[in-house]
Amino acid sequence: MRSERNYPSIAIAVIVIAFILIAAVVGVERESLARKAALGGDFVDMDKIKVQMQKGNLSNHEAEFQRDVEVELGY
Amino acid sequence: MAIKLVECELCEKRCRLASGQRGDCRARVNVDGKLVTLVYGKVCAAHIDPVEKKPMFHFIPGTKAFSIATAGCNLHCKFCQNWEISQANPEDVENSDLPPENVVELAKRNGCESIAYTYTDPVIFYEYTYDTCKIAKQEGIKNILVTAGFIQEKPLIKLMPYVDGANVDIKSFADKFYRDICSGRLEPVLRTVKMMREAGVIVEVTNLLVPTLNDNDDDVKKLVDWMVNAAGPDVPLHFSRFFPLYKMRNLPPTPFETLNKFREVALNTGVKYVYIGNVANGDWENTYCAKCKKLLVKRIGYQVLEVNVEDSKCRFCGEKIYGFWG
Repeated sequence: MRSERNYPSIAIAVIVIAFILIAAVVGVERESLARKAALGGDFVDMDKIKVQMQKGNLSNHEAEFQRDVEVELGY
Repeated sequence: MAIKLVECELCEKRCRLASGQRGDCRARVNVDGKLVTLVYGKVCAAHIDPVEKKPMFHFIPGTKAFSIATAGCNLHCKFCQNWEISQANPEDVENSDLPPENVVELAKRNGCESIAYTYTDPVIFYEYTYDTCKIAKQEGIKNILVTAGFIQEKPLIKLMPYVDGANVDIKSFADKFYRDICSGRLEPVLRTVKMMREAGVIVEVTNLLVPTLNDNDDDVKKLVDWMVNAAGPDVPLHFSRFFPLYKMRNLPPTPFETLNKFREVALNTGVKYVYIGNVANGDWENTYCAKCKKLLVKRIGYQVLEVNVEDSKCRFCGEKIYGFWG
């Protein structure tokens, strides 16, 4: 009787865990694809950059020649 | 699913950057969807140099150039002579705050007739270069770019009206060398030289000869042929001596014989003014009239001892001499 009562809970738990794992894998994959789509250097430590901007060691002057683009990730 | 990126339209790398990512030059970052330059007015090097050091041999000889740089570079030459700043992240070096008007003021106060944007590459500090050039021009100070010329057409066209002189580094005439050793391409560099020349900028070309990599007869002959037929035979050419540095410490310095051999090849092909750089005290530093062969500018190292050019002409035979002679 006791184990019968627990089957739905176990099933729900398994489904939730599976969903989380799939979401994580898909998220990582999308992030990876996004990085692959971008062509440039490394990703910066934005906190460090912003601190240095405030201290005056770096500027945050907007670049003149730039344009927005959208890249399809392909799935 | 689509993601939003920002494409940098400044240099020919055309980096497409996600938020938080920096360009290949290290100096430009996508901050929350907008591309910003980290180095506007933030110099990591500032010196007063003889203009001959750029090298500019046909540009008001014997004068001083106030020389500035910021960290980063859009090329990654494995033999870079200034790699400590060119291959560094701007946040990892100590920068000084030097707004454009202060650069011009310092140049004037120190008796410099020109400002040189140099050491790394002015392409990566374009906005700072542009604003400084504009003020300098108003104040009667000349502007010199020392560059690899790896820039898109649009920004170059906008900048050129304020540029008086440029030394463009053609690193090799082989595209493979550009791709493998410098992470660049040859064609945009040649385009830059031609565009500058057509715009009236006084252009000089430097070619650093790296033993076993770009010092072969075929590539150098292609370069000098292009100099004569495309850039123009009066554009000065500097063959520069390589010293083992950065990632190319395994190679020996360029033998003088190699430099001298290619100087002869260039002169015999029709390039009028050919010099050897990084080798001091020799006839290869002097300028001779292409017509009467008499000595026009005598140099020892960066020192100018004698100038026989008047109104841009040879004092002896009246031949027009390419350059800006003040």
